[in-house]
Amino acid sequence: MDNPYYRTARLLEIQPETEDTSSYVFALEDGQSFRYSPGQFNMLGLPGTEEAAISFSSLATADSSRFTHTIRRLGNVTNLIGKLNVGQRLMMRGPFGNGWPIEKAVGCDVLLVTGGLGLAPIRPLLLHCLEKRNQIRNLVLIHGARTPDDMIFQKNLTLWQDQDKLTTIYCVDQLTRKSPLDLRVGLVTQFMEGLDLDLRTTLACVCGPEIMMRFVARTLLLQGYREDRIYVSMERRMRCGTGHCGHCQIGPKFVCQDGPIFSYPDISRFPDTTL
Amino acid sequence: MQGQAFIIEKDQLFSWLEELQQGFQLIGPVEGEGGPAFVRVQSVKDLNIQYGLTMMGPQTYLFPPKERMCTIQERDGKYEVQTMETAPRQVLFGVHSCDLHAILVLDKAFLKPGMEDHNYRLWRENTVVIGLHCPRVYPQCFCASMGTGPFFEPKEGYDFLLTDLGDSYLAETLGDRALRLISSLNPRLATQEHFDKKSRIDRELRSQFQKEIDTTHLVEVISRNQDHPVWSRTADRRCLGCTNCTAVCPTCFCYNVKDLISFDLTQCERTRYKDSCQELHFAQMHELNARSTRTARLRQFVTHKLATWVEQFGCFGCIGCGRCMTWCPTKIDLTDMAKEIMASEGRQAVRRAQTKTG
Repeated sequence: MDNPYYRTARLLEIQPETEDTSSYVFALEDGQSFRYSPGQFNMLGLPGTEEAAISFSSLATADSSRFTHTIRRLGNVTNLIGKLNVGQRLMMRGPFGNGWPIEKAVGCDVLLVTGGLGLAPIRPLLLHCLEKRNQIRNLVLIHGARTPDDMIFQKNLTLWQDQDKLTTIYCVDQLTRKSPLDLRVGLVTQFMEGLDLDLRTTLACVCGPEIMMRFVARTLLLQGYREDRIYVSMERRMRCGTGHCGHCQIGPKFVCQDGPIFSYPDISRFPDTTL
Repeated sequence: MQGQAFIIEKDQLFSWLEELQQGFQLIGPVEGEGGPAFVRVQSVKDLNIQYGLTMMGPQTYLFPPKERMCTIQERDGKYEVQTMETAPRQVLFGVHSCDLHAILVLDKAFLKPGMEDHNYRLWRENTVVIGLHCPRVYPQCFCASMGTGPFFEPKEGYDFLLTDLGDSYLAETLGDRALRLISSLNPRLATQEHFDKKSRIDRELRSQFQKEIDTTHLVEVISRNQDHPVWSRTADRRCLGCTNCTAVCPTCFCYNVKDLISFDLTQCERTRYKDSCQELHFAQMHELNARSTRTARLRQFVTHKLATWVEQFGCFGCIGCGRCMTWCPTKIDLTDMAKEIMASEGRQAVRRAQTKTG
């Protein structure tokens, strides 16, 4: 009997992003179209390594079975995925999770703040906003990384920088080399002032290391943004994705089912987060 | 599900169980070297109906501490996944009220609509559950406080519910399967008199509890006292981090997954085994451990059982069996921690009232 939960995907394309990070384009082996929303994730794995929860970094397109994961090669699963050649297969289950609250963006300003690899789960949301650009008001992306070499989606970043559809602010901790991107030096929280955004309605979506999300959220609150319109994407150890294995619990929340996207006040009230 | 109640004569019980053994594996309480334990019983004569508290609850036969999730076979670059197809037909005999509640709790965790756990559903479907009310109250029991005993009240989760009335057993049934299984006994129907007797025994047992906890405001009290000194004091001075509490807790559902792959890398066995939030690795991510201190881990266990579980599943995660404190090497008692927090809140309230009036 074939397990309906496990599906097989074939690696179509690898796009190197940084030294240890690449974007992997997969397509479902059965060729069926695959629907998922920005912010959701898949459980990816190969026999012998169990599974890891990885967010989509692409926007689902109609009648397509293609999807992209941007993966840093750090652990057992991700290192093995990094060794896959184009054409080879991978096991996956998904999509899981709730996704970004895209319906809350309609008619409002949207502020996206990301750090490092946190840009990957935000990218589908940004692409969605660009697709429905006339439905939202101002769109701002603030992205920070350690060095210019740690910037993923360089092509996208360049493209977005040159568009007047959105405002972009890119910053690095250390400017180790010249870059075609307009880079400022400092932390994302240093560049969050003076944005032409409506404090009452702005939808702020934040993704990055937990400590960075903490300070971004607190900076936003100090500036007067509405707490319940700040959303963060949480990362936790996961084994199942279906709310059974218990590893991802934060208070009463299962990050895999109730999240990974939470409104800031909804998740920061629990201990065991750095938010 | 509709239920009916019958009377099983005392000398009929074991022969009936023997009869059930024809179609089912019988699992029940047996007195072993380390105390009573639920085991697969060969002869019904081995059963100990008067058993006390088992270390591992009967739910281990619905959610085994270690079980295969699937095997993955690689053939020509493709993956064939073989999952569990069926579970053995089994009778779980002699389940006390607290452990019946534990099974209900696991049902809520594993049989969420649209997100069912494949293996658990198979085990559950093929298991006949025969509950048995406790003959007495043990020192560690606080099921009366948690609303899970001494007698089992929900009309769900079991096939049979037996009460020892002294000269016979009252057998309450649920569903058609139970009626089918009991039909061979041709039992007489129970009357109001039998239920009255059951209520009398229930009342008598309730007066025997030595351990109590007031659950009225428990969720709120625990939730707003996450920085209370009791967590760090108990964790630092007493908790050994041995994970016994979670290993014996019948409602703990957390599991980890391990793959074992053959030497030629073509066949993989994916196994899950019960994991513990008391382990350092439990919430470890690559850059961050969400619960890196023993205090955080102990607080997670107690808070989950007594507070956050209610928001998750609409019931407490603690069923008042007392296993965690019984098998804790330093006898850490979660009700003591909760009571200490409640007492300090009470003292604060008194102080507040005094400052107001003063």
